[in-house]
Amino acid sequence: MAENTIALVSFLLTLMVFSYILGDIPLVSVLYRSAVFIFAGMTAAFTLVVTYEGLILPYLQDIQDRSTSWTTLGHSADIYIFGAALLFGLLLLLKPFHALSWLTNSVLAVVIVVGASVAVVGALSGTLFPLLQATAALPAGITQDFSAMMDRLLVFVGTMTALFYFHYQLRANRDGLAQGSRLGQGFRHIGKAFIVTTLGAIYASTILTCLTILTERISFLFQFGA
Amino acid sequence: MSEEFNWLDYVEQEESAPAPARRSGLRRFLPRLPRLPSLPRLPGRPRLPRFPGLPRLRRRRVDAAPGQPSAADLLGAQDERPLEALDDRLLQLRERSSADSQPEADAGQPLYDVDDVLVTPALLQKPGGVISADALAKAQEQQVELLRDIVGGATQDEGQGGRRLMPGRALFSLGALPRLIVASVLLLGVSLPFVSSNYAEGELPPSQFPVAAQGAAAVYSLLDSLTANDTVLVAFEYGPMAAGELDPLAELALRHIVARGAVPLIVSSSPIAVARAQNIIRAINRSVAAGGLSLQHGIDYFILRYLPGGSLGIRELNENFADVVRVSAKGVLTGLAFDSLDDMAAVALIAESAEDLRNWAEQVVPELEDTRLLAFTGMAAAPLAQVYADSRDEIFGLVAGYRDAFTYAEMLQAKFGASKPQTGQPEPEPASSNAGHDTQADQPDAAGAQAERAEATVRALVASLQPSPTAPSPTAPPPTLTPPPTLTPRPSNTAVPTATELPTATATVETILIVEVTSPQQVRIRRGPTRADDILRLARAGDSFEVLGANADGSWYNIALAPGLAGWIAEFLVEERTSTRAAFEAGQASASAGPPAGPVILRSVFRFSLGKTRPRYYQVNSPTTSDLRDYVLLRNRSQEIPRLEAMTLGSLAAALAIALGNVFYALGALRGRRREGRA
Repeated sequence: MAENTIALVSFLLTLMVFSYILGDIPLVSVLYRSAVFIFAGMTAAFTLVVTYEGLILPYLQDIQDRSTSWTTLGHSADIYIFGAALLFGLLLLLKPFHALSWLTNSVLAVVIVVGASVAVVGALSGTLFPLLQATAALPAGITQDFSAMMDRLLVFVGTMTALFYFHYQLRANRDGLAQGSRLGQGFRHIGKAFIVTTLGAIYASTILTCLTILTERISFLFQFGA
Repeated sequence: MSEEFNWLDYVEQEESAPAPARRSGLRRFLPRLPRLPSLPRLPGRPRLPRFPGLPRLRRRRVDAAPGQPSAADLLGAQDERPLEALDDRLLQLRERSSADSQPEADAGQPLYDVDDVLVTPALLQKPGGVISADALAKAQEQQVELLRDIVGGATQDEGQGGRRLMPGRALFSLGALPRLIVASVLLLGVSLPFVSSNYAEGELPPSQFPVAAQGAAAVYSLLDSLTANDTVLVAFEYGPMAAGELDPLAELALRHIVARGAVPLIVSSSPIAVARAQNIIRAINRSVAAGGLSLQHGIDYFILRYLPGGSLGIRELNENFADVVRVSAKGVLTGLAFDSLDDMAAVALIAESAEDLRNWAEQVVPELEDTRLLAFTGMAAAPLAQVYADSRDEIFGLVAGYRDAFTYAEMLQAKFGASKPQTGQPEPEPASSNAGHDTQADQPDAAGAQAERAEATVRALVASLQPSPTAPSPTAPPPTLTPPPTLTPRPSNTAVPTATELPTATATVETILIVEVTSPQQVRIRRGPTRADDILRLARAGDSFEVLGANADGSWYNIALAPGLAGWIAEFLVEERTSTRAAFEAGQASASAGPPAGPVILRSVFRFSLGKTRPRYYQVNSPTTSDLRDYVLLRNRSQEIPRLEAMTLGSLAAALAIALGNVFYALGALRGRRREGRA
């Protein structure tokens, strides 16, 4: 019974989402918007529940259970760490109060700065440096592996010219007008070609993904009717 | 317009005006904090010159050194350029905009389109309905009023004491026609294959990954080399939007891992993905329930707590893995004790977006020493993932999209289903294409006889190629024990247990050279004697293998993994010794037939529920050794082929829609140009 109910609700929600095809007709758009609101609301609610069950509750358990310690610093350090996390969380709740919102901003600053630091370190160590290594390390035996060399050369040229495309520095000519170098213009054109090709490939792949998802929903509708 | 309204003056007035001292809501009950004294104004701060046409940021750079022209200089100088210095296109644009502008007499009239742009009719018509959630805030209303002032003074009937409601939109407008046509064509193309097989277009994906696609084949072979003691970290990084594409991949990966007897540990940085994982486990259990099988949480699989914080959470997983695996998604202790991600046999990432993939590749992979990251992605993330997979340093292998999922399912079906008649749900076979899909299923007797003949051939081959009692020469080429091609779908011919049955004739006093893994970590056995070769399987400390040969410099051993299957292992990871064949095979048999580890009972006390003390017990043991192939075979594949055909027709419909859109766009542009020519 529960399975049938869930399937029926899914069926109706699918139809509500598909009503977006009919456009901004007020009577119909309410269906689509309702489905979106249900999705967003349930997502937020589920996030809250999982956060409590999977994060806060285990911490409380560990604090209570003195035989365990989740850091190597010992149980008292665990309590301090949990206390700091709890304090930060409570400070986030002060955002609606204008006079105290600076406390929330301070906490958010810590979170954002730490996140940005991790992202920067990750981008450098995980993306940029390996990319440089991969493009710089040409194979020793060029004649033995010509296709590999061409691949790397293509990656190198594509990377450099694509980066050059986002280089906006200009200089003034004799008339005082902005002008870029002709060599730079050439690089930018090549970089633009690489970027357009990449975006085209990503766009085509995204269409395939959308089609896959659409077929799954259509399949669900036909299965429901069968 | 700049003479009537100075934007900069307005902004400065707004910024310098004191904030209203209103206190509403809960703020009324809070004590008023003393206002901090304002800092004294720094003396001698020069007033910047005003350039009304420029925003503030640009104005600040105007006093740059004259020898170093800046972008602000160049842009600021555009205001003072004479008309003759303008480019021809700019002159045409200026003339056209002057011709299209409203005549002077109409400047004070209301602009009919303003409300359409600033406030949509739906917002005005539904003040108390669902759409009221989109109502404008007070600050936004002020901005709307400001824009009204800028573009033409009071609009419509504001002077009559209220806003006039916009007329209701027609039930159908001609402007929505192209969208309806495109959507109808797309829906029709996608739906037809589900209705009738007459609309099957395109070819189905291959039944196994081609050699060129090393990434997907490598993923399959690595997961297929798992043993009963392995654990695999499976990261679910997708939500409901990508479930239609990634659920099949996730289900296949989980079924494959479980069918090998390994234990998946599911983790995610998205709470929704935790729900997806639970749904997939539930679907697997539903499919095998008829056979009395069921996956038990805490025994056969674990769903760990979710990782908050995006990339920070993934970083935490990497650095505090022991803490992450201690708690399940239900907030209870798991009893698992792992120190690092290197304790995993593999890490399988099922990612929706390229961003998730990049996070894992950057935050996790650099710290992995002996464990590989396998990627399962949708097609949208495939272009970026392919770059990582090609490098083979970041991601070991890549399975992308629904087509790869189909091929993966075919390979699983061939491996696990060939030696056992399928007892699950009926699988419809395509009428026309894919004729060689599984012809043995129709003739089980003929297939069995063929397999027996092939097995006898392998026995004869192996018996004839037994190594000599002395150690083999390091330079001797490795014997080729590859079975005939007809044997490949038969797992019984390549599986480990058959190794104990084969050499009965030469088992007594034969001395062989074996190597034993001494590395404390898992080591890789590769297809060739280089680190660039594919990994065939993993081995742990204590595992021993018969030596078949070595490479030229002795840095790699050629070892026997199974009858007909040889691999290479690095010399520094193992220790060489001699043994009799009987003792070696007895050790192998006892190792493979050993009982599973006994259950470990863990106890945790929870005291946070209204003062009650509730002990909880968790049981952790190795998975049962029942016929785990049912987890692979009992899949519902009834919709796989229609979906692939629908994707093909949908692609054609999408291409048609894009082409038609471009044609309409070109025709519209030509029409507009002709109209301009007449004018």
